[in-house]
Amino acid sequence: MKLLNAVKFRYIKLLKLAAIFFVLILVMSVAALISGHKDNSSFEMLDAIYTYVYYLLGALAFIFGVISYKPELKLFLQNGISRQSIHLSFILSLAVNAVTVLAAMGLAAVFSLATGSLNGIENPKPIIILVCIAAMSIGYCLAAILYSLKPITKIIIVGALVFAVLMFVLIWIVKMQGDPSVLLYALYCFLFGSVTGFVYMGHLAIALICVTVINLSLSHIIINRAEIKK
Amino acid sequence: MKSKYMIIPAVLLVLAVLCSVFLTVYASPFVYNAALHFFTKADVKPDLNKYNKVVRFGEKAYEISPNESTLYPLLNYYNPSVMMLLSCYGREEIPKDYFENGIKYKKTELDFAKAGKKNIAMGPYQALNINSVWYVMPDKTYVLDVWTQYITLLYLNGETDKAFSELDSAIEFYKPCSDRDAPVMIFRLPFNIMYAFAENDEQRDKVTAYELKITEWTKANRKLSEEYASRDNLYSNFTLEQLREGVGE
Repeated sequence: MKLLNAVKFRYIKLLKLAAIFFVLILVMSVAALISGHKDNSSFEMLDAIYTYVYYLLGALAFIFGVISYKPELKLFLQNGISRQSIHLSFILSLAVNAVTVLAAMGLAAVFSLATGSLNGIENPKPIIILVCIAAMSIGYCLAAILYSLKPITKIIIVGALVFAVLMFVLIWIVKMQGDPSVLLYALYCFLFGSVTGFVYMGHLAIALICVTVINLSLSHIIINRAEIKK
Repeated sequence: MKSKYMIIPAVLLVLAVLCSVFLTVYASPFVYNAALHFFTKADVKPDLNKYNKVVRFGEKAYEISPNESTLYPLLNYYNPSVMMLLSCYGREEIPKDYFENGIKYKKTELDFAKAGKKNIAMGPYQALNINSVWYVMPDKTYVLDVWTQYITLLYLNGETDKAFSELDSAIEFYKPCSDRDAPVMIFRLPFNIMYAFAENDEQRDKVTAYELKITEWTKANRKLSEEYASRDNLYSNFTLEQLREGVGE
């Protein structure tokens, strides 16, 4: 029961934020319809809006993740909800991204009907839901690292990252005379399965699931150790 | 009890990291692309053994994740123009199964090309093209390019009859071809190699006959420069010894 309440609490909070976002998009879309009515430029404006909305959804999901950590951890622990339930409720709240993506698709469909062209607005790919889920888990994990780790642990993490980069520079660039763009290759190959600008959806889906699992596992470990700060 | 809650996420974390490494190293052309610049440096003598090891990664990646991006390194490697390089080392250093594998991958590319795909980068695999920087050849030139490489590999693999029958088909395809850069230069490669490796006079005569046939068609259909127009045969054949010495590079 406590878990259900925690999930409900998270959903209400996130959907309120999503509602503000979609009201803004709605206002922009109506403005585009009205302003472009005379010279028939509404369609181009709506096309631009709904192309960028799918990028903005990723940013929104990241914000969802960041704001889902600190206040909830304190509140839930004080109300006797276990750490595992807190983490599980966050995992269940990842589905809120599907709601936002479907809402964006619905809005795009409505406005494309209004402009008389169903084909014009680019069809979003279902992969966007996975992108949003990964972005939300990254935001959540970063918030967990920022708020719950001791300063010395943060210093160790940052130090280890800097050390790893320096070692890479020393070994790869200086000794092996390698090209540093190999890092970019690695990122492309991990996410897209190619270095040529092609994106293979199966590869991207597995990579995003990996990113999500890494972030969720890390944040789970941190939550298990987290102390409530006043 | 508390440690139980730490073990599960820790195991998941390790598995996800391992999966990420697997995706990058074994299911993508990362190893090939990372290693490529070591083999393309002017001051480094090509080390075929090292290159072969890298290509094994490429083959594995294509098996696990068959797409244009993983196939492309293999097509580079199994391009018979690499033979120019290999011939410097002598035939005995050609890796085992080179020609069989080459035929397999080149056939895949040829099927794409014949199906009207402009480039292997636009093959049949599901992909979302964000930003492609590939050079797209004119359609028929591309088909001929791939086809001649395929013929060369067949020939070098000892499938002489099949190579000559494919050559007949390629020449029939060439005859009505009107692409600007088409065939003469492209056909040079298989003829050079086939001439150099031809095992008897009969095969050499056969190759020469093809050359003369294409020369005749080319002169009839295309305006050539004075230098080319005055030649009886548009092709310059090199012997194996000349190839080894790097003639034509």
